[in-house]
Amino acid sequence: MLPETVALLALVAPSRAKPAARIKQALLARIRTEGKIVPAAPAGWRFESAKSPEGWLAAMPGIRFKPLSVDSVRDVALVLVELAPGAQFPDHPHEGCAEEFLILSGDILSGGRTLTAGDYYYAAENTEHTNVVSPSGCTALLSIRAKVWEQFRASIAA
Amino acid sequence: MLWPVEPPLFAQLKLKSFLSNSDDVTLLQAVARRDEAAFEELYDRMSRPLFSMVLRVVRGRADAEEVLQEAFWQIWENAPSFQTTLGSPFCWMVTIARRKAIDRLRSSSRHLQRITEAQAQRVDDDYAPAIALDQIAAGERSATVNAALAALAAEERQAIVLAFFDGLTHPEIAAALSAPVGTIKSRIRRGLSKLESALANLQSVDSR
Repeated sequence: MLPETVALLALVAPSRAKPAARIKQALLARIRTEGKIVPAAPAGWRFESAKSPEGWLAAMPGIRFKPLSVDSVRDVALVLVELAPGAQFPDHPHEGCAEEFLILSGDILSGGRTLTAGDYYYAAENTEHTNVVSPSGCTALLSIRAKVWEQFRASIAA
Repeated sequence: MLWPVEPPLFAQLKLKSFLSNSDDVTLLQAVARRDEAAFEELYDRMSRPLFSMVLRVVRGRADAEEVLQEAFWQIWENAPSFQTTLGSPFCWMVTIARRKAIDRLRSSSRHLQRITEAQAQRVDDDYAPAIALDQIAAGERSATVNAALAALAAEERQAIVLAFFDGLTHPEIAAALSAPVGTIKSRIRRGLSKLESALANLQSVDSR
């Protein structure tokens, strides 16, 4: 959550425009049809989902990432990655950082094999990663060092 | 936990919490119990300030309306997990709507244009506000925030506006303003700490 002072900046947005009335009507209609009760998260819990459209960072054409947790103390980041059908990840070395990868759905060519849901690989640091392509698209869980994720994140933001 | 996963622009600051507007808390708790009328009232109260902010971030009206709709849907869905100990309802809702707006902006890479604009020194000082005397006379809370922001050094205000409304990261702001990242960080830190002092008397946020 934003600090309170930062949130107050919302009040200085220049326009005082009013959203169209249909926005409210659409929301109320949606609540009536699908506004089911979502149980509150227990204290200390946080839920994310590969299915939700929020939180994805577009990295390159057809490839996006969603960080689930970035633990700078343990230096571990868990990140969802999604490749569109035919998307190809650029060749890269695993410089100073092992890469773990569990594919959740779809398929991907990695390390010379085709991986599908349930398949996992561990690529030790300083290995090479080439010819990474997802023929029919995929979603996967990626684990790398938090520090390396932050660098990567900064580079896709730049 | 929306803030910690994005660039820690303001994260290092320890800011005193504003007291929550008790009406907002009551409304949000009713929304958590799936009270449709309460949601409608919350929408009526919050949609204008949130929409103004979202519109400032994404700039297009159609985009802004979609983002607003997504944001209020998330407010409905997540209301049961809102906790007063984490901050005010206002802050919680702003956080959700701003995150959505910035995701929209960045997913289309349109934030890059903001960097170019700033580099070309076309940074809008109409967004970085002048004091609106008529508003202050009317005692509007937004005018107080406006005045506090206007009282900052231009370079502090510029960096804060680029971070908050244009969703730029520290390195991006540094590129936009041709200054080292460290300088940008201290401008933001200094500016926010001034804002905090200036706004410490705002006991609650009434967004109407």
